[in-house]
Amino acid sequence: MNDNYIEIKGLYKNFGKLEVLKGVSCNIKKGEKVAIIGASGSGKSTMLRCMNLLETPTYGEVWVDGKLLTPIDPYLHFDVIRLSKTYQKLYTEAIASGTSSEEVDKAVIANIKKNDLLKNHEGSAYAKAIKQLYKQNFQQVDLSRRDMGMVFQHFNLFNNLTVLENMTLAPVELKLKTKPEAEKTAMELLHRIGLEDKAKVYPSTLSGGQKQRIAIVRALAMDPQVMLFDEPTSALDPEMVGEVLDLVKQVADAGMTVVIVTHEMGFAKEVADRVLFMADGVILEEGTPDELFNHPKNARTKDFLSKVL
Amino acid sequence: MSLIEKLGRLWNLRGLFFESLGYSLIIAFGAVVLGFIIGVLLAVVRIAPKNNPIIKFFDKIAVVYITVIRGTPTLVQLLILYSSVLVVFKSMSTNLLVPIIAFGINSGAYMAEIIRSGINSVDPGQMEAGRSVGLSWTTTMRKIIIPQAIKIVVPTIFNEIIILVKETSVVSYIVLRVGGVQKWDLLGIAEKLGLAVPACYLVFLFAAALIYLAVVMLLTLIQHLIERRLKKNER
Ligand SMILES: Nc1ncnc2c1ncn2[C@@H]1O[C@H](COP(=O)(O)OP(=O)(O)OP(=O)(O)O)[C@@H](O)[C@H]1O
Ligand SMILES: [Mg+2]
Repeated sequence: MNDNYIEIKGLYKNFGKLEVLKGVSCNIKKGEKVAIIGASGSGKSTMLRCMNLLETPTYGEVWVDGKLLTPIDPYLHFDVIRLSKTYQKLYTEAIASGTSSEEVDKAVIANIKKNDLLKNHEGSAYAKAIKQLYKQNFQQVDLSRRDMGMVFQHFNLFNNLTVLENMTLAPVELKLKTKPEAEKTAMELLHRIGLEDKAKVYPSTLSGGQKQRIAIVRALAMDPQVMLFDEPTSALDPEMVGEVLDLVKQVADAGMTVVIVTHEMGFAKEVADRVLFMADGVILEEGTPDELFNHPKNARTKDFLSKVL
Repeated sequence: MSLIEKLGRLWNLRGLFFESLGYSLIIAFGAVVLGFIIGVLLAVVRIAPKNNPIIKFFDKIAVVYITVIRGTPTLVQLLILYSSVLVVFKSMSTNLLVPIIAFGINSGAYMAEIIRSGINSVDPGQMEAGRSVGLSWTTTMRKIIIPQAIKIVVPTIFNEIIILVKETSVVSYIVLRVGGVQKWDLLGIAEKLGLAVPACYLVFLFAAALIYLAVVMLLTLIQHLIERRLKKNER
């Protein structure tokens, strides 16, 4: 297909009446490190959580590794729109006035999208096309999630399991590894972060920094293709931020695709290939760290950066 | 009759009391097990994401079940079940299953609400973490959420068990039969003996009360042991 690992297309997310994401599109390439910054409440976490469908988008599509995780959003597929009764009616009406067919096509599609004109029953050709697109591309989200490690602000280690069990539960339960294999991998990862001696303890005995590092290696134990971090250091005491960021950096340097929502601007600058600035549920500006931090174009970006830098 | 004579008579009848205690405990134990299973199932159905019509349907049933069972007296439920079983089977030689099912169905509704609130009080981040590593909703529920919820609800569940043990005393309203022979539960035997020897009625009632108390104290002890055990884990 292409070398995008994650593709978000025309994403909207409403919580009841509250519109949190208002049309977000972004592609994340294999191996790319993307940092998402922005004010509190701008929708950063929501967008990240839509990538592995912890939040269900209201409109739009999420594609991961060429597989569709959401239902088809017909407004994103012009070929499909052209099959709809609404399109055909509007097209026939407009073409009578004598404009060129290309222009009419463009105008009608724009009109349909803008005014949300597609209805539930748009004819069998339309329904069939949607069904087929879906069937060809859909993948169970549980399968895609195996390839997307997620690290949360509040660690979310399984409280009823030991550190080792935290790391082996999913690989064993999903039959990706035998128990001894999973334990071997887990111990190697724990060794890497210097916490082998914690293998048999329960999470409640660990410090915040230890919990978060274990949460990271728990995700790594699944051999994911991409790691999603949602403010991995904001719940930590300042003296523990460093150890966690070091580990995130190691993960990034090892070539993994990384998407990180962060308030650590220094870290974003250092690690990211691309920085997205979000405000009011849209990506307002994006660019390399140098472009975004040193030469921001948008007034709101400048304003935000002046407050946090 | 002097008090000494009354107590002497009670002592001679101790075998009958212990046999009856046995029936009370069998009924209570069966009902607790059944109630717990029903409770877990109902709670899970109530909490499951309502994304398909089958789950929605079962959820509706669960709501009705809980509302009806909690909204009517246990004794009425027991008598309804007992009488309908009589209609169908005329006489069963052993009918301990009738009160077990009646109390189990009853307790299931209460356990469902207890377990549901326990599940709801588990940090939602636990479910998210489970889902984000690719585990299904059901697996995460089974391996992560329910074990934590159970721990939270141990005190409330034991409270329910204790209430249930005492509530089994309403079984004396129906005729219990084991192998064709009429039997009595703990309160039943005290009443029956009291009818035979009215002078000792109060003594028999006190004896029954003391035995209930002993059972409840034993349950409380077990509860504390379990709580201590669970606390030792995770620490
Ligand atoms: N489950 C939810 N139900 C209702 N509203 C929600 C929910 N999750 C998020 N929101 C709202 O959506 C908006 C965006 O939230 P989001 O967590 O995406 O912001 P954010 O950019 O990550 O902010 P922060 O920097 O504080 O983490 C907020 O106003 C928040 O209150
Ligand atoms: Mg957030």
